[in-house]
Amino acid sequence: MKSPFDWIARLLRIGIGGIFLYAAFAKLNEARAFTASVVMLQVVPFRWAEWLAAMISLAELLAGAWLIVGWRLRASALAAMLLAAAFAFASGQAMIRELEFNCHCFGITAQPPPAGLVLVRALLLLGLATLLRWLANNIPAAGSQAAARSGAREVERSP
Amino acid sequence: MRATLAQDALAVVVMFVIASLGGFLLVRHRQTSQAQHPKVMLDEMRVHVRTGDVLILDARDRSAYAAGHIPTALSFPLAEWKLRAAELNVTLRQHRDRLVVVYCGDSWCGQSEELQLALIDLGHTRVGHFAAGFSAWRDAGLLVALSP
Repeated sequence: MKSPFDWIARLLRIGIGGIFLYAAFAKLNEARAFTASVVMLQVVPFRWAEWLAAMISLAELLAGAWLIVGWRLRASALAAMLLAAAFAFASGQAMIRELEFNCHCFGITAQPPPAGLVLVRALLLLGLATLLRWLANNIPAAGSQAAARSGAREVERSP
Repeated sequence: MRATLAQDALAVVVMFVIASLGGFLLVRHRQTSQAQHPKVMLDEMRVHVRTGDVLILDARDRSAYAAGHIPTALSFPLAEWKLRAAELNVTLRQHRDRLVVVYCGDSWCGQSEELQLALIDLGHTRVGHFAAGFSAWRDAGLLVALSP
């Protein structure tokens, strides 16, 4: 019988994975707008911005799918943490530098969210991904099927 | 045997490598014919402003525009282009026989290049880029317009 932590991990896995997938499709659908956001951040030369925007979109797509599939959850949670941390860094430095930053993180909106809200969202996602990785580390069944099977074999071998 | 942190990190690295390669291929696929559109030099820009035969768009944010811009330039911050795409299309249709020139702060800012690509994506065929930017115009001692 699954523990509450298993269910929490499952919920987080599917929820965070779904968020990443939604964001990835929104960015790929409005690729020019998201590239403009990366240009506005002024963290890379212009020639790199288009590649970076495409890379981030695809990384979100892969991470989202990976989380939902549930294979090697510790690793996929780590990928989610890194992506969320990158967004937190980007929005944080845009706030500090007072850049006019329009994230387009979830597509085009009539009223772009302020950089502070983008930062809070990214930090929340980072926190949830960190919690998921912790659960995957400490709850064998939540971590991976292989670990769960390994745990079961240990139980069978013990007297 | 449970995966170690190194194995997790390796899996994540592989994911980012795949995303990087995919990004590279996507960009190659998407590459627009920016090279076919004119680069406008400072002297040409002076003539264009004097004769008024081009539509000039300033891709910087509004505060930068208000602090000083090339005379006759319209403010069209890159951050707003998607939200104002319909307005942009109307403006450009009104000036369809004129060359459109975009600029930003300097040759490194990137906003004008990105706005140029956005205009090309919207189907506009004559979009030039004043790469040297507002800083070159100002440093040449040319007339600078202010917004109220």
